[in-house]
Amino acid sequence: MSQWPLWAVLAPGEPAQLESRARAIVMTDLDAELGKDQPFEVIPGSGRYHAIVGTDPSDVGAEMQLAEELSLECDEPVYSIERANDPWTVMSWRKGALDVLEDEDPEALAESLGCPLPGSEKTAEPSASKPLRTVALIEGVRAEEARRALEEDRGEPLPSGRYHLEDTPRGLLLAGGTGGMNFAHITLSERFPHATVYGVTASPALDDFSATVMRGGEGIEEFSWPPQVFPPFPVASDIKGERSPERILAALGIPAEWFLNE
Amino acid sequence: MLSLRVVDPGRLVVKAGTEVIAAGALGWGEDERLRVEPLESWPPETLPRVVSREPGREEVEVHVPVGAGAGQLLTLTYEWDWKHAGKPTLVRTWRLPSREQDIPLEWLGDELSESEWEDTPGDETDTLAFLSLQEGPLSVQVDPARPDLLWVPGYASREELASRLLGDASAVGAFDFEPREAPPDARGGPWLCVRVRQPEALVPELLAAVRGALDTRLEADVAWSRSRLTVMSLDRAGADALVERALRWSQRSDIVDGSGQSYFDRYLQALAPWRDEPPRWHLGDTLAQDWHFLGEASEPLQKAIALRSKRWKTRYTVTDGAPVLSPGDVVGRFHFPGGASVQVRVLVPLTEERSLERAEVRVRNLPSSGPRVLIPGGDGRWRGYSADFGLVAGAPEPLEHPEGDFSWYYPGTLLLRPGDWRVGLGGGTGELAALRRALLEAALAAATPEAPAPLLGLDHDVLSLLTLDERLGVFDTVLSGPALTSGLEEDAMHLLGRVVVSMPAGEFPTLERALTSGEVLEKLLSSNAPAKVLLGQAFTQKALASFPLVLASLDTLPTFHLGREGETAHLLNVPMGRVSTTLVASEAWDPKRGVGLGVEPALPGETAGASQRMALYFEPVRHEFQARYLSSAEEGQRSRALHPLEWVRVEVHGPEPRTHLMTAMELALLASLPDTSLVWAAVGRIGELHMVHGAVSALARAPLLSGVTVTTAEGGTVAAVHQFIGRMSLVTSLAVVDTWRDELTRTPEGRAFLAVHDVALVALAGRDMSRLATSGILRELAHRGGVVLSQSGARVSVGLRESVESLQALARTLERLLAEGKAVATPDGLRLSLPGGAEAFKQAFLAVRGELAAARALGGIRRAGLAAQEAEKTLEALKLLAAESQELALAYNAVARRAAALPADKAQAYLAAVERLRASARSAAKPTLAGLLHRSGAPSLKDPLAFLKQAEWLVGHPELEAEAVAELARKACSKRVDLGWLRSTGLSVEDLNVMARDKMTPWRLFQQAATEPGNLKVQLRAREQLRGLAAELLTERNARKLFPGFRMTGRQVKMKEGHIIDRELTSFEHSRIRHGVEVKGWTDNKWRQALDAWLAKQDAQTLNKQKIALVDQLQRLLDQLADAAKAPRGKPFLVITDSLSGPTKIKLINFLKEKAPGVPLIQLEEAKLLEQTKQWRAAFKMPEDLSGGAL
Repeated sequence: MSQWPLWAVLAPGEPAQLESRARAIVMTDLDAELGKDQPFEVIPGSGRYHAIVGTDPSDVGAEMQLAEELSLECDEPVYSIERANDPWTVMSWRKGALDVLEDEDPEALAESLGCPLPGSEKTAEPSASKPLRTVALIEGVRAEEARRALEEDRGEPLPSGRYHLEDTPRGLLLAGGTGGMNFAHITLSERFPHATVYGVTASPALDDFSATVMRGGEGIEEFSWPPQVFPPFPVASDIKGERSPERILAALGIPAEWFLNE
Repeated sequence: MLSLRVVDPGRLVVKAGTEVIAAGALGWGEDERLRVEPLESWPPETLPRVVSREPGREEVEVHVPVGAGAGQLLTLTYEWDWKHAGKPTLVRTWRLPSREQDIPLEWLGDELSESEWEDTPGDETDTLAFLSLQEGPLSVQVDPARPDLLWVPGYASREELASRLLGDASAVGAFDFEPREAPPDARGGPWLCVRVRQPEALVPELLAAVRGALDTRLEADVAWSRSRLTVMSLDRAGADALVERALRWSQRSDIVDGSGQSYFDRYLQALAPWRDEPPRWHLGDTLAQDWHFLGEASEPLQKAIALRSKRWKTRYTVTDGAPVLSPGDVVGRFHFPGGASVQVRVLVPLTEERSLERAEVRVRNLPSSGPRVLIPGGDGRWRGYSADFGLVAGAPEPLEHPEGDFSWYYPGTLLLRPGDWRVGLGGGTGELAALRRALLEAALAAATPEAPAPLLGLDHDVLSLLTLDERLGVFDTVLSGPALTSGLEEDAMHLLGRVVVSMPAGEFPTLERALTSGEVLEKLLSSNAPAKVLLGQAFTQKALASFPLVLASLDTLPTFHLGREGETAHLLNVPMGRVSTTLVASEAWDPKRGVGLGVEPALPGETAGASQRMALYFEPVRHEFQARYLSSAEEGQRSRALHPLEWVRVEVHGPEPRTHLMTAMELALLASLPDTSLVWAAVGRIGELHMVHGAVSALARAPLLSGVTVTTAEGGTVAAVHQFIGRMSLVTSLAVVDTWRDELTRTPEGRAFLAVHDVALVALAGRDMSRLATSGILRELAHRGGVVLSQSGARVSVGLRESVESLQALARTLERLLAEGKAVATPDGLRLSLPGGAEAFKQAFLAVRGELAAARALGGIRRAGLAAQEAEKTLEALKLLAAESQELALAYNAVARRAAALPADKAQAYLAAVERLRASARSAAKPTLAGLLHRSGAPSLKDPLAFLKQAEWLVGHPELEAEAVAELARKACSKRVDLGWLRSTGLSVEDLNVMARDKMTPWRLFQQAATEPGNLKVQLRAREQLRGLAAELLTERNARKLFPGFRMTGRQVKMKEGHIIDRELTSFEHSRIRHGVEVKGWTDNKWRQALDAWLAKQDAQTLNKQKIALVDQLQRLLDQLADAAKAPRGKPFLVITDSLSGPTKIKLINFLKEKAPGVPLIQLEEAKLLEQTKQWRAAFKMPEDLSGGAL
């Protein structure tokens, strides 16, 4: 099973015995008689615990069923993990009684019991082909004010190079430094409710472009290129009278090369 | 008699009226076997009788005295113990007959089968073992005490085992059977013990299991050994025991753990700190490391360390000859179970070869009869030596103690035990075949009638290369000389048996003529070699495979008696004489007539017409042994002349009476043993030999069918599988029945059934389904099975009844399919012409199996004086349905068997409920019927009527959609939703449809939340999931509005990388592009916290567990969206609540723009979301107010 398990049970015992018990608990008599494949796999762990894992959404619920039954047969806790529904549910079972484990990381739990879950889930590929960056123009706010506000929000001084802040005649230009923009322009929009903030998110070639006008932390309108079918804010046909990405950037005084990723 | 299967421990009390007739505590002892002990308040006389302690088949019985409690109630109470303590006491009652008469066995037995005690899946598995085995992997168990040994099913062929154990069906020589007697805690049987020569070659799954068991064992042995090492002074016995344990681990030096260290080194490593601790330290480091504190006993351990440990060293010097060992060199030890041990020394070198295989072939085929060992030398060559235990007179013989253990100093050492013939190994191919041929030719050339010894050591592999003429020559050499009357008699006779066992069946008729000719027959009959029994069995087996032997009813067969009964011994004289017969040309021969005197098929080259042949007669002799008087012998009437190939029935008398079927020739060889003690020994071993030579060894030559990759000349893989089914299903089914041998031998009907059963096994050993199919054996088997069941009534145990009925059904199915021309028996197996092939065969079997059970159920209802018409109609309707699919055939089978196991009135009610379910099913719900009906018949279901009632509601619900019904039915059958609870909720039909259609709805969590209103954590989790479901529902319900230009086309769709996306849309446009829709029911608060946590992570801040979880959830969302965006799908949609605050919303949008560009955000009305969630909470009766705050 190379796929990422939707559900799992971590139980102590002997793998072959667990497999046979799990088969008896989870499979219907008819499935067994029809010779259907068992809907789970037993992954032997390095210690007492082993993982019983399944990837079929139809079998969600089997993890509780298995954990409850198996917990009746041993003194140690049995854990059930369900990752099909949001939020993921991790439960600890003892003698048929369950306890929901809040904020328990299933992978970490499995690892700690010596039976890591197989097939780590594919993480989203970094959008290497088309990384989008956000740069903002904040009208009526000076760099020093902005820095102070961001430091207050953060509760500590900003590390050097964290943001690029530049006072210009049109206003404050703000770009993410070492850690990206990370909503700093939205924070400033909230902190300076009367300032108009233009948040521009674009790809290096500007073929994916949006400029959001915000005030008081609220989105007022948005210009998008290409236009969106389901726009989240009222659509702006122009920004400062300009209707193309390049010209909008020029009108805002934002250098286009800031969207290039070095 | 009240027969009770014991599944769980408890305290049993049975009362007839007010009189206690049985009481006892039932439990399991340390040996994991059933124990029955008196209860404090009741005398030991009332203990129930133990029928079986066999794990998984534990059974006790209670004798109900005639007339006890007449007219009152028979009451059984069972207070659960151990883990079930506190569970309500099980109480069962039956009305006892009012006058003195036997309790109607059928209802008494059936009532018990309804009890929870029999609620084991074993009932099912017995029946279906034969159907699943060819599809599932063979069961293999690691011996917990000796994890380097494996237990495997006795019916498996060497090829199947090689495939299962090593993943290579051709590796038939890579493992050896160990003659261990006691099987492990394994259900069913028979089981054989196997030692794989190179454990590292095991398939990964088994190697992991072996390593796991070794780890467990190591822990225990290290603890034990450490406890010994902490003793201030070890006596010699203690030191020996410690060394024995260490030597046992030395044998595992060729198995490495996950880190690459051998288990022997690990054992030594684990002991090192203890070994070097006080009081050992005063010996000095070096001496302690040499284990000198163990005194003289340490020498074997030092040698084992020197030769087997990679990591540990001692100052011990190995003085054995190298690379050729010298006579007297000690190569191992044998440890008796009691603790004593003896050395194993090599005597003379026997052979030297470049490979183990070549050395083994040479040594196995040498005339030498003592133990031999094969040992790899340091020069890469393998050498064989004769071996010796240096025993003094009267000392116990190691080879007679299969429960003992050998430990070998040289890794790879292989012991060849005397008489360890390898049945089932053919001549092979390539250089090994050439070597075997050379050995055969040398032996044939060297052997003479006066000195046949060169032939006497030849094993089956070499003998299988004999040509027809050479084979006759071997018989001539042995029979024309003095071998059968000399000291070589036993070896010579055994050789003849092996020659017959290893020969192709097609060549047997010619040999049969030679064997039953006057002179040869006379010599064979006059021999006193017990191996005649083997020759006789081989004769019957080959005759079955090569002649059309027709078995009529057992009742009409000539019957003879052997054995001892009290003071009376039954013997047979075996005269012979020439009689007339008629040889019929093969083209005019009607195989259905069988072979007998007066008419038999002519062999190629023989002239048809009148002829003469030797016939056998049997004269019964009764010996009476009387203490005070001389013994007397009374001769009975001589039998009619019998053709050597005719079937005879033999009743064996003695403490364990048995019935056997055999050819007259086999009986003649058996009964003609002049030494009566040998006759008794031989008849006592018949059953065992049938197993060895019938079910196990000879089946080793079963068609090679590992997986589905095997092809045959005609029809390829499919044909091969079809042939396999007919044959293997019968083999495994017969093997299952065999596990009930003890119970069957208790009655004459059971013994008669077993006799036919054994013959069927022998016939199958000949591989020829066509012979078996035309022999009448199957018909007689089915008939005898019926007799066993009807005569034994409720006395027969449930497991036996299931097994026999299955075999009966299988035999009938085969007969029926053959008679209808739907199957053709071929020498290699069964070829099915049914559409659907193997599956159709299975379906036909299930239908027949169901018919048998249905007949039993209806019989029970009628005998109880109840109306059976409706039940009959129901079962008839199910039978018709069974023809439609295998699922329905299984359902019919399950229902019929459940009905047959219930008391008549309950069976009637059950079948009425089945009928109601069938009748109420709307057409859209019909596909779910098979599963629901089958589930109702499952023995593990406590209350089938309640289940059927709920199922009836489900399939008859006028407003439930087919998809919802199917999903709920599936989950109800697998116990993942409780239909009774679901009905009790206040869910509207619309909501039920939505939730039921969703494959991932966590019903159990919701039920848990409903039943645990005070469990805050469960409530919060359930609420959060309900909110998610509500968001999905609203998304679906408002799809048109939310996604103009799209229509909803899928739910819970798996994306390319395996992520599940909630819904799928398809564009109305020409492109028909599909888009995933991920619905997140998160609140504004959760989004804000998640985005803040994400921000904190980007700023490299330390996150607490909760924030890490939130970041993980956001990352997972990105992963889902990225997966869903992969071509050919378009950009996915993300659906969220519309209640996000401005900053949170704009943050989310910005987040998506950067991390998941192009994903549109769709918003749901929060008010509706809250309303829906609240509505569901009410429907599920979940509390509204929580101290933890509502979501």
